[in-house]
Amino acid sequence: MSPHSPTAPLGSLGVGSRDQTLLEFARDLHDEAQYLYTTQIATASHTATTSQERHPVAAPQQRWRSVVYDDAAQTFDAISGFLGRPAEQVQGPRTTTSVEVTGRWEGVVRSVADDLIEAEFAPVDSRSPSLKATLLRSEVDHDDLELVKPGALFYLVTSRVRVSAHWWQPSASIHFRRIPEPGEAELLEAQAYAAELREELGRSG
Amino acid sequence: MTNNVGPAPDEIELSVFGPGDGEAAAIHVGDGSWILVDSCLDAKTNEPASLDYLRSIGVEVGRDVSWLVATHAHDDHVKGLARLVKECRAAKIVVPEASSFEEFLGLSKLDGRLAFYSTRYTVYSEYRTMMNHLRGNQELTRIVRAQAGKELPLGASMRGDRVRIMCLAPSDAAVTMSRRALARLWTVASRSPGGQRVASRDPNTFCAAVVLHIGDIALLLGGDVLVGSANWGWRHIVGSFPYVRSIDGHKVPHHGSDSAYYATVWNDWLMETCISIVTPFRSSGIPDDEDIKNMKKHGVELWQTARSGAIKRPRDVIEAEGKLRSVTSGTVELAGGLMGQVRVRWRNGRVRVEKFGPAFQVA
Repeated sequence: MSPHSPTAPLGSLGVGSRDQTLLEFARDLHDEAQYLYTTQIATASHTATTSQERHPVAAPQQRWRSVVYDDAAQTFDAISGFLGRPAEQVQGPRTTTSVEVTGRWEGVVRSVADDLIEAEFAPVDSRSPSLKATLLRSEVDHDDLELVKPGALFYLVTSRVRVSAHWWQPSASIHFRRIPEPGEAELLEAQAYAAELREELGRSG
Repeated sequence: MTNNVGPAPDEIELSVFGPGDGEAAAIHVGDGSWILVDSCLDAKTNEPASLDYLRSIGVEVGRDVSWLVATHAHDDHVKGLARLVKECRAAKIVVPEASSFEEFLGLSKLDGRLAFYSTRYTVYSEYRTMMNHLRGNQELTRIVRAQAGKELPLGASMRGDRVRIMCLAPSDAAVTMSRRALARLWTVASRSPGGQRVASRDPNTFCAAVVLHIGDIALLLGGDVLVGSANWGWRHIVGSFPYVRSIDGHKVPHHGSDSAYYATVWNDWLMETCISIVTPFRSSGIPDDEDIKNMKKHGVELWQTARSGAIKRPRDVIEAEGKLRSVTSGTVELAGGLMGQVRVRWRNGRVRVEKFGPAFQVA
């Protein structure tokens, strides 16, 4: 049993007032739970450090699963249940978000070679110049893999995920675009436009 | 060194611009008259580089630009073309034959639907904007189609006895190949590529190339014309046109890559005093050391508008790299870079070369 699991003897936490320590612990737990959700590594075993003790504590995944809460309120309720009375709130619940979007890009695939995708992209919301980079095919969603070919358009969203109070980790996701097929009407319209324009150009030089 | 002094009326100028992912050229043919070839944007101003330059030296572009040559429909040659067409109101516009094919025009129309879904720039959007502008203003007659062997009709603003523009490409065979390639692209587009641009790549066989004769100066502007075969490309051009030892200024084709390097042009066409200018294409790393070696062995003076290798990255690019670390392999680079310019001026038998921005003479 981990000394920091909710069912560990309280004495093993060993610091500060009992309620405060539990709430601190609960907050860390909450952070960790969100981190596990957002980075989709919930199957990996994890190492956590409480805010007061700063030493690594092994926390098997199965144990964490039992304490994954959706939000601070659920965490608070769980602690109250554990104490057998309403827990005191020593400070307001965190209001900062745990995931912040840091950039939105739109790009186009230039070439594909084995597991690497050469791409050019530019920020969606600014006129900054285009960038080029090699993207990892392994980071593309399985359902999008059939779309990965030269000329394909994609969105790239970068974010930072709060791992703990002072630790943010960069994250990014790639979404390939599924542009609807041109309909019969669109094709006919394009053909008509082309024929008309060609005729007009034929009358010029 | 300053670049805001225009050429004297009797001075011939070839200015080549390139930031590392595009190119453009501006040619002063004398008496304040200009010809522009291709277009690329200056990342700092988001304006076509040639337009920025001409304004900086006091050229009235709406009046003094007589010709715009759009060699072919590739991103690195047409960015800002529609803006040039609008601004240079008096200019005739030279496009390769294939750009007026129904297949090309249809693709350009079909590509318009992407504007609804995506902010990404496409080559077709440039042509669509240009055609819509010309059509709306009943100026389609400004368009002249380039084909090998065609001498372009000169306007009154240029002294016709002194200036000639000869089209070297595309050949008949290249036009036929382009049509076939465009037909294939149309088929793919109408089958719906699901998420792809209408066409990811147009053929380089499209490409126009011209020689400008201005008095006794001859300039070879080769676009992206490739080596090709007996029927198209440089092999065809060299076999069809007699420009032995006559070229004074040379915009090197296809960014100095080996796919466009044809030694006969360098050996037989260029004068010993010829100035050759390369616009690199950084994302493909061209020209590379081998390409440079090939070009240098002909003994001409070689200049580049920018470096072909990696360049110093601004802070925001390094920040972007940090954000993208989890999905990228290697570094994040600027697709383009600072705009470089190589300017050559000829007057009374003397030549002067100047460089601006990251441009340099290849040692």
